[in-house]
Amino acid sequence: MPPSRPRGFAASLTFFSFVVAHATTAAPRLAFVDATPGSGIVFKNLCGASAVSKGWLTESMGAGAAWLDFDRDGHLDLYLVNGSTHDRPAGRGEPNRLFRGDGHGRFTDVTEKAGVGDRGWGYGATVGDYDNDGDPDIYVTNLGANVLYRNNGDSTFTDVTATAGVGDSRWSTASVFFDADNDGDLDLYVGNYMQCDPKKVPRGGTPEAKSAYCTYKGIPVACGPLGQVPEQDTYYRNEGGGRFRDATREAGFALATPRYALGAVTGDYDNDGDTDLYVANDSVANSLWRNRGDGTFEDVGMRTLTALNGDGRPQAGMGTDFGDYDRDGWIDIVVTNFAHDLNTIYRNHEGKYFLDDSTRAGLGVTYLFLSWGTAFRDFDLDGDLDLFIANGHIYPQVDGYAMGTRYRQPNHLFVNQGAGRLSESSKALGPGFAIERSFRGAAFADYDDDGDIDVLVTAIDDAPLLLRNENVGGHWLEIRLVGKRSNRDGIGARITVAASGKTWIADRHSGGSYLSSSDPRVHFGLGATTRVSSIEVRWPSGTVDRLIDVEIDRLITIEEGSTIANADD
Amino acid sequence: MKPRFIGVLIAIAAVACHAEPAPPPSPGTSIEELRVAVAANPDDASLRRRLAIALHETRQLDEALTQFEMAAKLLPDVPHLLELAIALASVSRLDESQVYYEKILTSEPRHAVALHNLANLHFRRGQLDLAISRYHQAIAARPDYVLARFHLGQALERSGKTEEAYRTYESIVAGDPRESRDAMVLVDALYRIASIDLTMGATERAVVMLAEVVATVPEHPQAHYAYGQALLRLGQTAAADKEFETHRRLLDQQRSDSPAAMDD
Repeated sequence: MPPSRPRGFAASLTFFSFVVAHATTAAPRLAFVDATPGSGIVFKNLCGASAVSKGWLTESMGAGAAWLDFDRDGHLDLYLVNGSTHDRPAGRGEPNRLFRGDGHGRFTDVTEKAGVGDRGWGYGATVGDYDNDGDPDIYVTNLGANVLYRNNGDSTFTDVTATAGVGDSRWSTASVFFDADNDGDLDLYVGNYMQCDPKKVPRGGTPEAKSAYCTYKGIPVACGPLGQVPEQDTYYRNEGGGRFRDATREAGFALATPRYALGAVTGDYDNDGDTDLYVANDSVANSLWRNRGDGTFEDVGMRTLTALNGDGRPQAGMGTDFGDYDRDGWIDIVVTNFAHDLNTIYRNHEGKYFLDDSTRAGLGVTYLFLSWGTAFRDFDLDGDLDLFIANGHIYPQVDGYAMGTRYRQPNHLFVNQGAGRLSESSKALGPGFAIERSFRGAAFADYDDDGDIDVLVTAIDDAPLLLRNENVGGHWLEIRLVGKRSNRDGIGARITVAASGKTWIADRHSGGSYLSSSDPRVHFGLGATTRVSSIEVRWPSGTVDRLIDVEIDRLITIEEGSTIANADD
Repeated sequence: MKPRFIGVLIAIAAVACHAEPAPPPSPGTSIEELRVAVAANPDDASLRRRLAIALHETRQLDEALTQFEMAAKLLPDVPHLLELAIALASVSRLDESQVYYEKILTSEPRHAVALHNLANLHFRRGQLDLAISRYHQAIAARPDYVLARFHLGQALERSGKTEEAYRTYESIVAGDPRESRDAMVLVDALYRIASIDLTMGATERAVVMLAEVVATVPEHPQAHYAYGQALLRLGQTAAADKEFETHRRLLDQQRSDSPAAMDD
């Protein structure tokens, strides 16, 4: 039956007075260079037996990276995760590598001495001081048993996986340390992907791979994730004394139907003072885990409209991040997705729900790109958050077809133009953004301590790319937190900076991006602001610290309780 | 089964693309029987075409393509070339597909379906300006080609030409669809108009539109989802929850498509 004409139709014909003029695009002041040559970072990712033929998804997902100051010398160090092949015995993959940074762009491989060269088939890494002893520990996710490295405090680590009880042996991807139950120590959430035993899952492109989920636009490809068995994520509660306990079910994280987790990030989306968790899942609904404040969680993804895109469809979630890109005091969410689809920005409406703002924000240009690592950061130091997205297709086969997308792709940087609009500007950002690889993870840090955010981007079967930010102009502030009653890292703390009548918020979060872990210091771009009137830190414990009249363009350290604010202020 | 909205579009696209579809195999004619018939009559283009379509419907794409190629070789008329071009596009051999569309357009420059399908190829490649140009040509060749108008609207949206896209969708709504498939495109055009309204903050207008869409097509999951968002914005939480619940129920009834496996 033909539809009747809508009653609102006449009104719609006169529509469009609301269309606002696009903000003037100012020429970006920043540029990025490839700082990898000469940096001392000698590394090549291995992910499967062939770089051009990927039979299973295990061979397609690449690996991540982590920035940390493992030796507490004040300079960031770099941990790179490496993979393996299905032909190699378990534990005989290429070793992960730890590079000690000197703060001036030079790195030295200290893997053997530090004892962190795990040789599992690695995917991700997260960093956190789970034992509150003042130095960062490392958790590595693998296809097979994961590994927890405890920092001994003398530039070496000990594999404490067995004692700690965190050796999830499934295919793990994203992981985050955060104080889920707010008892002062870091718990651990591990995202798991799917079952992928090559003896049971047919190799893509073979006659056995007949399922519709083994083709992509008519091209035979690796099977999944739909059609394969998803794995339940694991939540490990920190019991103290270096031990964790699987508390997935009692904390509310068990799902009737598990999802294919790839990205995870913590943040306080509803401004209620406890730490929530967002998980980007591949091809099915994403999860927004609201912290009930009692150590248990509920998935409010559907209720808050963050599970699906604006059309109500699940997407292929890869990487994710929280950030207040529209500076309204509520953190928003970005999720990177598959090619021939859009990356998604969920704009937070006062913690009640989110609306898909992707097209309006300017992400339409990402349609042909398959995206992974991502972060909201103020790369140009103009006082609002920009957006970085790492790109690279998952199927090398696409290069054999003129379908508008390629296996190796350039990365994107969207410069915030204000009013919630982002402008893809990578072509104007120097040679670093002209480089095309099949990128995967991205970890963000001011590794050269010059006040702007640099990016380490990993690439599958390839060398990583260290993008040094050559930004000129703009003021900044970096804040290192030291928890006392709260977890030592201050993960979950909310920082509010006020200056020149403006305010900025950021959480000391964990995870984010894709399979990666970023600078533990919280970074603020301040634009033309020359002096910060106040900094407030709301710690997970409830303690509030406040600093008044703070100088800019520097790193400051705030210890919990050291500048106690009057609760009535 | 794909979500109805997408399924409807694909069904419409299939109808539109296969301008002169071969008669389906008679009931009980299996692929095997068709193979035997083709083996016995290798120069019968019609038989090969029937076998190709049967293979295509069962996702045996490579073999289907071979049969389409053979049929087009035996009888290189426009319908056969069109089917071959469509089959090539379905396995992402877009360059070859384009060659056959252009071949058709050499002999019939105003072949609306070829123009539309060629525009779709450009759209898939992200060549939005080329796609928009071809959609316009298809519409010029056949002004009542509502599917071409709808896809033009999508290409314009993707290009950031939201106002033009909006007007294009309005031109569909302003038409008088005579066929049921066109009516479904009209519903989808209404949905897109409402989605743009919603994105741009014209929430009350979106609510009116979406109420019409869900009343017309109660099994339109995306419309229920958008309607819920619009109601939520207006603070009508209970009504919004009801729409989200309907959306969830409809999704649960349908297989969730992998974005990786999704058709254009």
